[in-house]
Amino acid sequence: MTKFILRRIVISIPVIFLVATTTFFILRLAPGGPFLSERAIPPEIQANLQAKYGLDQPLLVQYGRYLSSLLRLDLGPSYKYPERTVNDIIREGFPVSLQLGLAALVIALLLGIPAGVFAAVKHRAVLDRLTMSVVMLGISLPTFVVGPMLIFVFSLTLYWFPPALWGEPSQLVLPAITLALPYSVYIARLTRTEMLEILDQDYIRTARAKGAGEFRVLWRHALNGGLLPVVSFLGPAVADLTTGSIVIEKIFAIPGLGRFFVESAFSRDYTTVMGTVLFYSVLLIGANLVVDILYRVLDPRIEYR
Amino acid sequence: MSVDAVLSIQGLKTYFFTRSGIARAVDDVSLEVRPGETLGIVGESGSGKSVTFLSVLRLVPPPGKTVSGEIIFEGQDLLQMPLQKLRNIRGKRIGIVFQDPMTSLNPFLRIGDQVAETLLVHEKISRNKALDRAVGILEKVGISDAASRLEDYPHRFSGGMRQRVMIASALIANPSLLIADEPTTALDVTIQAQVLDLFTHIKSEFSTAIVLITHNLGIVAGMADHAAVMYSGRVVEYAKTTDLFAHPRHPYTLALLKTLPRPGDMQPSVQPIPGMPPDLTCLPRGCSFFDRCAFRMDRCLEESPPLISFGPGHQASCWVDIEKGQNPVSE
Repeated sequence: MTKFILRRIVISIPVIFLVATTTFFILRLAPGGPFLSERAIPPEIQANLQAKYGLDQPLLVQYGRYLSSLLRLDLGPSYKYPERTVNDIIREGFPVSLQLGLAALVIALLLGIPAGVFAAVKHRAVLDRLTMSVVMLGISLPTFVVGPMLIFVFSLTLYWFPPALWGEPSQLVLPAITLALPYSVYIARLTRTEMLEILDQDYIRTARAKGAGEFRVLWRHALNGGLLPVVSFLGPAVADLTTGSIVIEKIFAIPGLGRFFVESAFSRDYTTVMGTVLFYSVLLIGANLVVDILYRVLDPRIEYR
Repeated sequence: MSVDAVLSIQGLKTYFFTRSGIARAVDDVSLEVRPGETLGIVGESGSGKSVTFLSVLRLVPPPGKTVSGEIIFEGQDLLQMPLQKLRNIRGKRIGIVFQDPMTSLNPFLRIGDQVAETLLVHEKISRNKALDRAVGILEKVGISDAASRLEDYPHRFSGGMRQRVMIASALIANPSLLIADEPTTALDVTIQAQVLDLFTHIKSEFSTAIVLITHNLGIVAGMADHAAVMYSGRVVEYAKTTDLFAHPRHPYTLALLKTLPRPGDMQPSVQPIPGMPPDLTCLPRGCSFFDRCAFRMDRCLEESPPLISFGPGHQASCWVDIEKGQNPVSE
């Protein structure tokens, strides 16, 4: 197992290198630059800025410098926010997005798995159709509709939770639910499909033949296998959820990481784009590794060499 | 039918309500199993032999449904009792071994837990005590050093070993009836012999009544006290095994026996049965074996023969007394 983890980590180094290289060159191919704005900046200041960040150097030199600072885990200064480095931005935004994302993940699993199991058990009955209709509704509603709706109902009408801002645990509730909803819906569908498959297996019949009740059949015999697709979905889901969403952050005024992905791209804030993309890739690789380890725990037939 | 039967099936009908019509998988089957005896059930695929005994534990998958009949087990009708009560009988009083040991064990659970589960479900017993008894029963079914294998998952076991595990989990609660649904069909021939030896051993050691479902006449000959031959959802012949082999009374049984190669024959004289079993969704009015029968006559086309007694404990559903040598239809 340790060997497997080590090998996976070693393999991911070239992947990260490739991501860094691709983002670096693709960004430079895009028209514009960090210091071009609608307001004309005098060419001397422009040149000074370029020189300050080394943007006047040949591209390959810039690339080499970028890689060498990467080796020191330094993602460089932000061009848009001169007083902060990209490391600062991530250090400040990520804990917020992480909390929100993990809360959303827990909600998504707690809603999605039971809903999926329930729908599978009530297969083809009215309750299955009803559950899956609610689920379809959840898929169809975009977050920028659900978020304001939740604010309207639970903050402005019922006064249960604050409508926005960050810091109090109660401020976590509405954005976490909004963020969780589409994921819970997807998890419910995955769980239902796989549970339907598993409940048809011979070993489920064996369990019933031993006298096991439906509760035991479901949660002990069927769920383990039924969760495998959910687990593999969790890798990308965790990376997505914990790096924030600009829509949620705008609606609920949350100082998360999500907006930097979008805003830095618009402002050609090269280092911030590359930093956040790399950070996302590392999270994704890490989450997928955890998923593979979880898989091993859930499915004894898989052995890692 | 005698009162002392462990299991008595009366007029059982289990139909599958499919899109293409109602398939009469089990159509008016009556059978009984006496304490300690082994009843062999023979028939080709689709003859209703498995579905009959899945009906006993009410494990017939949809769209199958038992529509009528009685299944009296130890004095109670299993078809009438609430599912909650039936669960106390499943596994505890009636054990069942399925055909394919590769798919019948849960790949996600440890062997020990799967064998011990039968006890944990039915008795107030600690997991450790249940596992101890699992070791005992696993060794009895021929898994050596069972204690060290409790933590293993099924994929580490061969097919024969898995079938032993299945048998162990069916026997651990000491049932009075063991149903074995083609327990050797999915196994290699050498492993088949070992598993059959195990059943012989079980017969002598556990005094459990066994229902042995198979399409292999040889297995019935070697193991069963009584045998029932099934064809298109019905029992067409029932007799002591020795009688059945010495004096088959139903043309289908006779035809089945002729499909066996006889030892000593210089030239193999295996005769396959011509034709195909009928479509269960549209059975003929008369005898369902008519199309393939070598003894058929006009009456068979009109009237389906009931089980007729051909001597003590020997019944067959045929209008013709094939031993009296009515002329076989030549084609």
